[in-house]
Amino acid sequence: MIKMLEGKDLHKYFKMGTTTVKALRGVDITLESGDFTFIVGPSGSGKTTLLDLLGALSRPTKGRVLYKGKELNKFNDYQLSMFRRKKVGFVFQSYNLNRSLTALENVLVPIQPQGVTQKDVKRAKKLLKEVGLGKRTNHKPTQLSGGEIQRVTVARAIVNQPDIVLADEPTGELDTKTGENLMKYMRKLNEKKGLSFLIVTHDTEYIEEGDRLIEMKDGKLHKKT
Amino acid sequence: MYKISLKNLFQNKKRTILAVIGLSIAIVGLISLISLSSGIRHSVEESFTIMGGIMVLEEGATGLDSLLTEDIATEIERIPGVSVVSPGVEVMVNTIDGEVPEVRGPMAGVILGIDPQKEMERANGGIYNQNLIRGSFLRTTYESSVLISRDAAEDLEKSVGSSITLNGETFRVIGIYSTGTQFMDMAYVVPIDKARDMGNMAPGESTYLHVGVNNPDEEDRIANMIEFRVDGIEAKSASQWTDEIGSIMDQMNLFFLGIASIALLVGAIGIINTMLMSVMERTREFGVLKAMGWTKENIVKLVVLESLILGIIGGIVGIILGIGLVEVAKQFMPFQPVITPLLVISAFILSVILGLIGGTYPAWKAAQLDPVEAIRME
Repeated sequence: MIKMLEGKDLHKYFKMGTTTVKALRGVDITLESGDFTFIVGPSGSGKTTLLDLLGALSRPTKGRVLYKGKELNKFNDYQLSMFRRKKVGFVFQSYNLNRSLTALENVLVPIQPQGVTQKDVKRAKKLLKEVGLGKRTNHKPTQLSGGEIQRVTVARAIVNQPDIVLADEPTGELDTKTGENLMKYMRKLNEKKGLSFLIVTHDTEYIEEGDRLIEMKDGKLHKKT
Repeated sequence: MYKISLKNLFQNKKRTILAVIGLSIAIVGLISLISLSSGIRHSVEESFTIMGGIMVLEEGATGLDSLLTEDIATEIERIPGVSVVSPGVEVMVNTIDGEVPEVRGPMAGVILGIDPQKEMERANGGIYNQNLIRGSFLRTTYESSVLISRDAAEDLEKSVGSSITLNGETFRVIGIYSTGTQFMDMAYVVPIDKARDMGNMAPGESTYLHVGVNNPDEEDRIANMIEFRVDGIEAKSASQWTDEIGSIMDQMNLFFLGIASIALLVGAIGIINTMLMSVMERTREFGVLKAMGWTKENIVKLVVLESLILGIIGGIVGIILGIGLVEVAKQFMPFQPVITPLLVISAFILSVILGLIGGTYPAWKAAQLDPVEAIRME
């Protein structure tokens, strides 16, 4: 297995008025290609902050994030944007789709800056088909259910063929059955394409045998299995 | 990316329409004011060019308020190089066939009294004489005859032989003219002594004097000479009047531009406001875009493109409405406002620039958003 993303002694502090909140207090983590990893833990344990650092959405106060051995701290803003565009895909808890665009157009948004080709459109359509939305490509988010919206966001996260998808509570706003279905789609992508997933969740019922599980507490890794 | 910008704009149609209206009103203002000013200038310049010669008015007078005595005319006639001094009397039209004209003031037309003999002695043979299209010219200085313009003949349904009553005095239409310039076509041309009676002026008095010279190249010099020799008057050649009117029009243009600038500023603020509101409402969207690898430049481009589209739509709508308004206004004006391609292009470029400027600050704000905070903003 290839080491893909590594966090070494990660610290993240936030200023809240006069007090400093220590969200992460020295986290070491290694994600390998093909992993299907869950991060669980109580609210405020630092799960989302860790995800943000690994996805280069913010920089650590202390410590290093390495992508295939390259230190992200040394990347400038533009290089970090390129890293997020090409190597990482994000799925968030809230339905973060553009309401004025169709499902297909939303999937193509990450490609827009470099210019959308016919090949991209074909790939986006194929991805929507893979997540079960082949017949709803021209529907707008207001015409889709919560589960369908999250499947569009999964398709959008992988349209640029990233190495890893970072999902922050992707089932948080879905009912159990829809959540299970979404998780099934993500597992399928992991198995068929070898795509890595790092999923922050509260819902331990989605965790299966063979998955990597990381538990966090008070800004530290509590347990790894 | 323009497709996304366009769709984003129409996500909040009301706000977009309001911003477009704000900008287009400013463009309508710009087009109508500048075309009005250009129209006045064009018409006045055209009139002076056709008239030729030297125009003499009482010092400080602006037109109908001028009063010149007979001895002034006599004095000017004695100046070497002067070929003819043709007096003119102007009286405002108050009633036509017993009815008050719909348009009041000078725009209703003017009764112009001339001396037919003197007019025909002028180098161009008299403007109204030369531009007669039907009937005949006036013969004496005291007859109940009138020349009317083709426009007036059409409006009032008159023809040669019809009678017309101006300010209670009845005349017979003996000729119809068309000079092709709106200012000059506003005149009901009557014998000078009739006009003096109507304006309660003494014999020999006039509103203006038109001075013909032997050598047209000497007009400016002789005009200066007249001003030097005769007290209490202003004498200027057609080109000098044109220059003076031109400088007045330049000041008027500046004033109009000032008013239009305020409207344009309000339009630009409208765009900034629209785009700022839009950026604030879409904070989470920009956070997500950053997470998906959009650079700051990409986000700036998206927002500026949106405001640019607002500018383009506002410009096009403003130009169409402006041209429409001017076309309607033409029906009620004694001169034709002039819309040049340069004015239309300038108005469009201005609205595009306003769109760009209006979007720059909101775009910068959007680009500076912290993705982590933006994505999780409630």
